Amino acid sequence: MQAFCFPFSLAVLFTAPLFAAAAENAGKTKQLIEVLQSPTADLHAKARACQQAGEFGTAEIIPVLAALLGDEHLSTYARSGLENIPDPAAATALRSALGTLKGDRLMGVVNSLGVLRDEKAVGALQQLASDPASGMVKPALLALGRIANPESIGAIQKAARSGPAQFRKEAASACLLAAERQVASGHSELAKAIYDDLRAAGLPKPLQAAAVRGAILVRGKGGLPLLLEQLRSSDPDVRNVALRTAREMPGSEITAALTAELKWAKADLQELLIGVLVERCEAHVLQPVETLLTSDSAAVRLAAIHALAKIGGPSSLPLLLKQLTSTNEGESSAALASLAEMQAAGINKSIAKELPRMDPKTRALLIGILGDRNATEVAPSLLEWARSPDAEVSTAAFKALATVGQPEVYAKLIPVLLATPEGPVRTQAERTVYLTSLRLPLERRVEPVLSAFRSASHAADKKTLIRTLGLLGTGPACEVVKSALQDPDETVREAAFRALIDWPDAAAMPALLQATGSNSTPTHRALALRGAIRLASREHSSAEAPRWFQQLNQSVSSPAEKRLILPGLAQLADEHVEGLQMLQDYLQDPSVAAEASAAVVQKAGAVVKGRSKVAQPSLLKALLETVAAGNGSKTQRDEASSLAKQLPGPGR
Amino acid sequence: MKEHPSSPAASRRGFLKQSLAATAGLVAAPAIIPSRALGLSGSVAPSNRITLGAIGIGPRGRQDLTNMIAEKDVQFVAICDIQRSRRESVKQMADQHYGNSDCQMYRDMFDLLARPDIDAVLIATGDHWHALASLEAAKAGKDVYSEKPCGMTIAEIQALADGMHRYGRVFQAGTQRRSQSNFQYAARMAHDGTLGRLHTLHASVYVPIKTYDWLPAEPEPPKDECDWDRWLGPAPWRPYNKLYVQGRWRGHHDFEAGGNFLDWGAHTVDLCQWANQADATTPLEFEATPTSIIGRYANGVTLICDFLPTAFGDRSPQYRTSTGTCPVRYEGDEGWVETGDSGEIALSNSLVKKQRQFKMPGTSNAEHGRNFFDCVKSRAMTICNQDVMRKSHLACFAAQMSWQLGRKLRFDPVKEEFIDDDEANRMRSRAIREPWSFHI
Repeated sequence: MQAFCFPFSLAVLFTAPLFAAAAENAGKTKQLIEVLQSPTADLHAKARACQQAGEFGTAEIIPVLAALLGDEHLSTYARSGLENIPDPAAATALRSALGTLKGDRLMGVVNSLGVLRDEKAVGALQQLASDPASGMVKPALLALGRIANPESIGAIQKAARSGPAQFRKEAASACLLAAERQVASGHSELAKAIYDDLRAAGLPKPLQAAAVRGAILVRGKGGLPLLLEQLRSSDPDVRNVALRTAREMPGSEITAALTAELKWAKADLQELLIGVLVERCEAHVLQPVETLLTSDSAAVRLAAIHALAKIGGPSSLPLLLKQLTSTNEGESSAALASLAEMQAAGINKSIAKELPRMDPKTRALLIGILGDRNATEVAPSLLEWARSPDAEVSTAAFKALATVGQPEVYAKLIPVLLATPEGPVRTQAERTVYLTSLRLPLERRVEPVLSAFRSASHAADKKTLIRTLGLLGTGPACEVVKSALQDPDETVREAAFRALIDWPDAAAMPALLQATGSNSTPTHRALALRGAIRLASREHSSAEAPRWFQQLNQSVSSPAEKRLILPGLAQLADEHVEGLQMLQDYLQDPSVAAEASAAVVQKAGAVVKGRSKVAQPSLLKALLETVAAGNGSKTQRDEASSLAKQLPGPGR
Repeated sequence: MKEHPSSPAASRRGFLKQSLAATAGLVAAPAIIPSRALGLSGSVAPSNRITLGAIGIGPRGRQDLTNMIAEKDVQFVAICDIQRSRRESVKQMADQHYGNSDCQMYRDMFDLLARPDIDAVLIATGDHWHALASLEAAKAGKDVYSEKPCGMTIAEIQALADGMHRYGRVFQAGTQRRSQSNFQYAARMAHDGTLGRLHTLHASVYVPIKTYDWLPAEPEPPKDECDWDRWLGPAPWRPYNKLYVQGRWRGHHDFEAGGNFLDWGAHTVDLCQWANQADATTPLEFEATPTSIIGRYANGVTLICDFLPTAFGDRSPQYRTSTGTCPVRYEGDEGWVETGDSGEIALSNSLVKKQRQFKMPGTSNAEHGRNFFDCVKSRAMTICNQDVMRKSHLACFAAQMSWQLGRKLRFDPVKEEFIDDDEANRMRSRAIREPWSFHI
């Protein structure tokens, strides 16, 4: 692969950053010239040198690049250089090449002259464009379109109008480019003439459509009649381009004309025009769109409903509410979505006001919408609806409150919770209380629930509040729940025990450790063990964590229980050497040695990758070496051995 | 796994996971109701279907096509690829889906584009073909869904965006994350004031690389197997090597836009532009550091394109690994939100007090394609239309060039040129290999 090796000095250029100041460019250009003229430099080096010439090269390299324009492999690279060197000599060099090249190489040069918009090339390009034998008619026409001076425009207009049929598409494309250039430079009249010429040229549809679009836009408001004519076309291709063009035309006069058109248009156009009008965000569009909610066309009605999501105001609310009860499922769900999305001021309160008039099913839907809308201002109303005897309504209200309930609602939710019959609705209410509590600081979450618990007399209420306290956590709540273990009602005692098992903080640990003892029933003992291991693992950084794990270690007896504790020991080992010491013991226990080995390897892998830490790396290394020398699989032993080498500490 | 300090403590249990998921759905509903749920994509009469063709379908294009072909109002009818194996593989997929043998194969895209029955095309070639193929499709009267990056240079992006307007076509850039619910949710937090005054946007990108090397020359295969000259298309000539056509074109200056910056940057910078409501502009200046490229918008917001050494692994400390690939983070006075392809919405502690963190479904292209097809029907602008794509791609190119040149660059987003930096301006375009040109 000698041909593609880096040449001598160019390697420096490739690896060096390219932040050369202008003064340095001359020197670097000289290096590029050396590469391009070197008999030993390969194609790759020369190609890159050409590209770099385009990036920072100076005029001195232009003749060298020009010499490569006829090269089969390097001509594009050379043109990259020439197109980007800001010196008129580059265009001169390209023009000179027009008379010496043929075929694709010539085509490339013609293209580059178009890129450079080289007006001095117009004469030569015109010659090529008018001579089919040159094989350059198409690129020359397009280059003339890019150049777009009066002379070149005349040539391409003529070609588009009356030139050979096989080149008229390119001539038209060139005219489109030229017209855009005229618009950009403020010559709208000339652009208009070009577009109008093209419209009359009998072009293929896409080009015809582009010409019509241009003709409309260049006229500004004056293009409106032509736009409407296109919109009314029975040809969908023509109409589609008009629909896009309408979106490009600013101004309320255009909006007014399109709105007027809406009234008389056929249904298929109405449906599409609604979309155009919505995007214009003008207030006077609303009423005509609302009128179309009663259209005979289902597609138009649906489009109008969707539109109200964006432009709907208070007047739209009763109309959308009516659509909610539509037998057309698409329309009712679209109405629901639009209600959720409408941005007009006061909509939330307006929806809340309508709730008493609705049937329960619709009411529940609307309450859901208020939740979707995050309608915090209607929370008092939702609290009332949460007391509804209709389960669908009250569930919807609780769900909505979970979203909109702010701190001031929290304490008010608890009596509503206790007033809710047991069952799925109360379960939802408990979720809502918990989710609302998250918006308060930790210290303010518990007291309202504790207060309610102190005055609760029914077992069902006590259980609900215990479950809630179990979600909130904290020491004071834990003490109250622990005291409920002595409640005369067995179901309350069980609820308290279950809450402690899932307690979110370490406050429950003493009670759980106690329950892992022999005085508990086997079921409670197993549950308490799992709860305590979960909690100890979660709080593994705590100074008390080693003591908890040691106590748990003494409580576990069966291999299944020992396996439960292993992951927690690996976590404990982050900051406490006791975790490693206990793992060391388990490596020697035949009933769980395999699982302990796996835990050690997994832990070490995480440590090596920087995803975990370990209190004493040397001890972890020793454990790995034990695993490596053990009876595990070869894969495991190899991995342990490899990991051990990556940890600090004396090796065996 | 240890929870992040700001995670809600109680997310540990199924009961609460259920609650959070339920609530998340409620909170997010208004912005993410998919069009299919609104009755826009039901059973469709054949005469009302959008007829789709595809050009250049490799692994990424196949993902797009799999979603598109599942749309009931879309009929996929033709595949063009210069590699026979890929043509045949796509035809097999389509024919299996429809239970017929109607999908036509083409080696030359102009034969496909000449079909008057085709309404729209999916373009998923290598980067160097995207702009030219899109423009030729527009000139043939087709609407275009193009994979990103949509062009190789600033000049190509300008030509592409102008051309889509010129021919009145609907265009969708394949920056599909704008259509995904978690990214929409995060953008809405930036827009609705939840984050307070926005000040910093983080866009994850690969550690930039760019290679000018050529792979060793190999004998060219028969044209029917793989037409190398057509594969190169507008890119400058270089000798054939099978690795290029197998996907190893990435990172090569002549084949991948902006080195590798736009691979993720086209998504993440685009998302930041959106969060900043800056679709019509770009940052005004760009400056590379050893770990990032920093951009500054006129409204005072800073864009930080963070280099991720292990983009597909551990993304800490810049981002949470749990938010997945392509993460972005928006920071305001009131807090921050971070999200990525895992769908997780991660929030600052300050925001966790006000609302909950949750996880939304991860990457799916389906809604982005749906948005394109809806716009093909309505003629509306897509969510990632040519104007949105133009500015976000330009921001990417300008950022990448500041890294490549190793200096601060100032950029005029109206004139779309660098201020007082000739070298940067000269790098905005490259010559196109004959016989191709952008004079379309």
